[in-house]
Amino acid sequence: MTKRTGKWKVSFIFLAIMALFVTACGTGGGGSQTNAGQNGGTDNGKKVMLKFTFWGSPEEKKAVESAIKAFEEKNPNITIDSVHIPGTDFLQKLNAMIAGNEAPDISYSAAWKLKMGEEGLIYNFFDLMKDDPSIKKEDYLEYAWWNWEQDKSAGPYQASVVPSLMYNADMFQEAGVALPPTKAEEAWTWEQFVDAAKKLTLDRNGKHPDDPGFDPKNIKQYGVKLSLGWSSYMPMVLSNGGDYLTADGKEFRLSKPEATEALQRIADLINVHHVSPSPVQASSIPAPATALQSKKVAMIIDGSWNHLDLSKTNINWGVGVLPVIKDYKTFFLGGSLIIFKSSKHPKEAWEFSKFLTDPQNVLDLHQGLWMPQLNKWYEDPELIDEWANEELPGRPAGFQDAVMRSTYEHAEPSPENNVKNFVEIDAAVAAALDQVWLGEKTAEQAMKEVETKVKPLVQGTYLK
Amino acid sequence: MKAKAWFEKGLIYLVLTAGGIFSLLPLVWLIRSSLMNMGQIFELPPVWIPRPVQFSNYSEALTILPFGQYFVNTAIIVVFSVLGVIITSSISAYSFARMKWRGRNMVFGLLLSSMMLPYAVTLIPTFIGWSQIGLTNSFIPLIAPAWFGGGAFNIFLLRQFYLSIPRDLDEAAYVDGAGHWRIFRSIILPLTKPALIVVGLFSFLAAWNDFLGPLVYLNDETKYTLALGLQQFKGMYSAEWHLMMAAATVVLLPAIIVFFIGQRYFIEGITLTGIKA
Amino acid sequence: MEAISSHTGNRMRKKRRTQRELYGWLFALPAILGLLIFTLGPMIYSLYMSFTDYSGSNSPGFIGLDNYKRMLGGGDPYFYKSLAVTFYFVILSVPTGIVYSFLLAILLNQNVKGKSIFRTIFYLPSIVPIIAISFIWLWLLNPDLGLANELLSTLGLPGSQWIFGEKSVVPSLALMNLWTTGGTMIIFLAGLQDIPRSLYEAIEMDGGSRLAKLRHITIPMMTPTIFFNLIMGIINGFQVFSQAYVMTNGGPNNASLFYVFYLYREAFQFSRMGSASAIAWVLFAIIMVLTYIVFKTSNKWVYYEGDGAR
Repeated sequence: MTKRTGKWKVSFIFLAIMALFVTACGTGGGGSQTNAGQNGGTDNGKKVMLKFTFWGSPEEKKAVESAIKAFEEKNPNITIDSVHIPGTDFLQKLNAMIAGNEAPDISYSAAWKLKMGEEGLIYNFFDLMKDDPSIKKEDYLEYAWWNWEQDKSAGPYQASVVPSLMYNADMFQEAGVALPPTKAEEAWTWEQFVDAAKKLTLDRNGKHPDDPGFDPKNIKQYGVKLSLGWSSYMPMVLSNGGDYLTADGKEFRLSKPEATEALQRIADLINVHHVSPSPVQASSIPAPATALQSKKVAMIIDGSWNHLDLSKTNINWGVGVLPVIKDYKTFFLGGSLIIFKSSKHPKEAWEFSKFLTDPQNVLDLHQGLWMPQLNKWYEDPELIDEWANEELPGRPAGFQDAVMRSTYEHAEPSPENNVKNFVEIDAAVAAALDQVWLGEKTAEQAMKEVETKVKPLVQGTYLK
Repeated sequence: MKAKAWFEKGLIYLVLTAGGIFSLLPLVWLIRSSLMNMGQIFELPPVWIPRPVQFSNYSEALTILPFGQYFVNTAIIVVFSVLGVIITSSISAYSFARMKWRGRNMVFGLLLSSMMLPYAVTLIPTFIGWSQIGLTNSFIPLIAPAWFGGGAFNIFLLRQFYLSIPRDLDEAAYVDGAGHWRIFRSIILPLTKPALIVVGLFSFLAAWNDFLGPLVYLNDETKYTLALGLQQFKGMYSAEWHLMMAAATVVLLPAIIVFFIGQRYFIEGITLTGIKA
Repeated sequence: MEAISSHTGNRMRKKRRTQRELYGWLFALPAILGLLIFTLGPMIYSLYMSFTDYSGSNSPGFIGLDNYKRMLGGGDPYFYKSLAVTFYFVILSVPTGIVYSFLLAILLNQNVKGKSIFRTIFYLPSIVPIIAISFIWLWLLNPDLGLANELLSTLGLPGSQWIFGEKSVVPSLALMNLWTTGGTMIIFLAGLQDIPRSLYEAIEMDGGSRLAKLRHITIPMMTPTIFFNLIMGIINGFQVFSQAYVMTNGGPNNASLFYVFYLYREAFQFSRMGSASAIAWVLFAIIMVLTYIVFKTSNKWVYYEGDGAR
């Protein structure tokens, strides 16, 4: 009897292990394939598998995947195992991969990459550049660099985007409002901007904010929606002469009057003028392209990456320059491609990085989603024509003035790649600004309060 | 007197109905929203009946993301977890209910107190452990714990069942020379089939509904579970409520179906949990 | 003869006993291993981690009590905030959940028709996956278009900002928690059904009212069940995560920065595994202390049938 029991026990354990093993194989398929590819060595002709992590909207995902295909055709020995991760979860997932020794070879990256640079997890772009004469620092836009020290960089932007004002032209026509100007010199003053937004805002009964009996609780159509993140409010802060940190990089400057005044003006759009949705109301407004399409909003101030989604809708949309408070100021935004030191194929990763960074190779993406980060693409008329021709479906009327030139000529460094420790500072600032947008505190109060929290986090700047 | 009794009865039904509405309304609202087009969903004041009924929300929501793949992934995790729980928790529970060995009460006490341990305490070290043996981004960390006792809760539940079986039965078998394995298999197991079903159902739901586990362990989109897929959906289609509600319904449906199939056992199982209290 | 046989009998018994011991352990092995691998081991490991600066990619360096000092000494601006938020949630959600489900259970335990239908309906929400629950409530509580505010306005009441208001976010999530207390209700119902009829009859003879029955019999007899649900409620309350992750992202202004969400963020977003382990241990300590307090006070109010029998 006991023997039988023992047998049973053994076969049970065996079964259990088998079950686990089967699952492991069944599920780890993708992973083990990667390993096989990586162990294949780097010799020419042998297959190399690069793991590449990226984010983006469904449209961007498609576009990036087709760029990958083009790269693979050009480099038949390299296969890209692309892993799309939603932007909101991206950092967590990447950290989990790194901790699990599953770090990708190459990845999209945001501001947090600088910490990875300091921790020695990623390659210094300047080191990699030394062996490749085709890449020169001065070819790139002045502020399009992610450096964690003077001579250590996580690379230039692989492409740029900018804060952009997008609008539905039909809605302007219906309201009898002139379209937003496209030249920086002619940019709307704040008052003109508010005025236009008021005319474009309608409540449930078709009344405008200044009409008697306007019902701010039931707004059917908003004049303007801002993303309410730093990339939307910082141009206004800069325009009013403010900045994120003081010029010496030692102090928090968003709490100073020039900045708080600009922030207050944005908050007033929501709570005083009722032309813009609060974060609460924004939760029932769909993504920018859909919002303009469904006429929930007439103007949107958000990243230019929305142009791609907009071009897929069949609405009459356009772009204008951002409104100004004093001077026209804006900045380029962009991620960079980081190569992990754990990669077994840094060379191939470098090739892929170069490929995605060269506008010529990913012209599709540069005709609707991305903007180049190389100076010549903003200066050489022929090159401009390749990506910014307003006949292109992804480039609306006014694009060259309102987006390309206005930014190229008035670019400051973006706080994201200039301010040290930006991720944590911004987390604190964003939480405090919530109260401002909700009208619970003035910008001055909230920024003064958050200053004590931010003080120990301020560590200086990288670029300027 | 009679009027008072009527009044009391009425009040009871009133409160129960109110509670029932509170329980059902969100689900009704979910289904209703999942069948509307975007224009109608934003209508004010809200309408209750979708007109026209837009079933295409479902097909649209299901094609945007590879929900089929997510479904398969979830199913693999669920099936192997449930198997593991049933097999190992029943064996362990037998030992705690029917066998005498030194340290039994201490081990069982430890096991019970582990029920009170917040999973957050072990989340990080367990994650680090799995990552060090290179098994993160696979289903194994999500399945393996089920094969090691299947959780204190299930062992406890089964032990309660086993204790309710009269000892005379296995003692008679023991006198006949049957070993523990045979007693377990031929006496205890058949008598406690309903209990096993309860355990199976609970572990099905636990695995199906798990969010934090897959969130921590699965990185690759192709390995995502339905819960993660749904979260991803939210990131991409915020405010397209008709699609979000359709996707949520799809994730919810299997749980509801399993619940209705095994309803009787559910109630029985929870009832048993409370007995010890 | 006799002596010998008793001797062999002894040996036999001894052998049988070791065998019995062995099988006992063997059968319990999965659970014992599970306890070691997935509970005790990780706990010890995380205690060690909590004294290091492990980030997930570096080799952990010992930094003594720094993680704890930073956290408890105010160096981390989020620790006390998340603690306060979580306590607030527990204080709101546990009592309301118990009262609500107890009330429903008592009503169901009366002689009502359609008992099992009601029971099913009340229980149904608790099988909904948390991610789907979050979606549903995100939509219900939408301040502009949600059903909740619409119902309030039909009743002539002012709407709420719900999860978008700093003050209303935690109460909103407590309300949502109420929706899923069906399991608790069923445990109560089972407890109620176990109360012997004879106890009520005694009171009925004395002409006691329903209220008297509730006060003098039902509630005292139910104290063990209430106790059980209280402890489980507290533990679950401290573990709230998905709601914060999916619905509020800890906002607005960190007003829903639940403890486990804070821990997750520390570990996986800011990649400070060491610090996250310290956070986990503090949570463990808090739950231990709370459970201890509840247990200690329990003999004052929990009534056990045939005291001391167990």
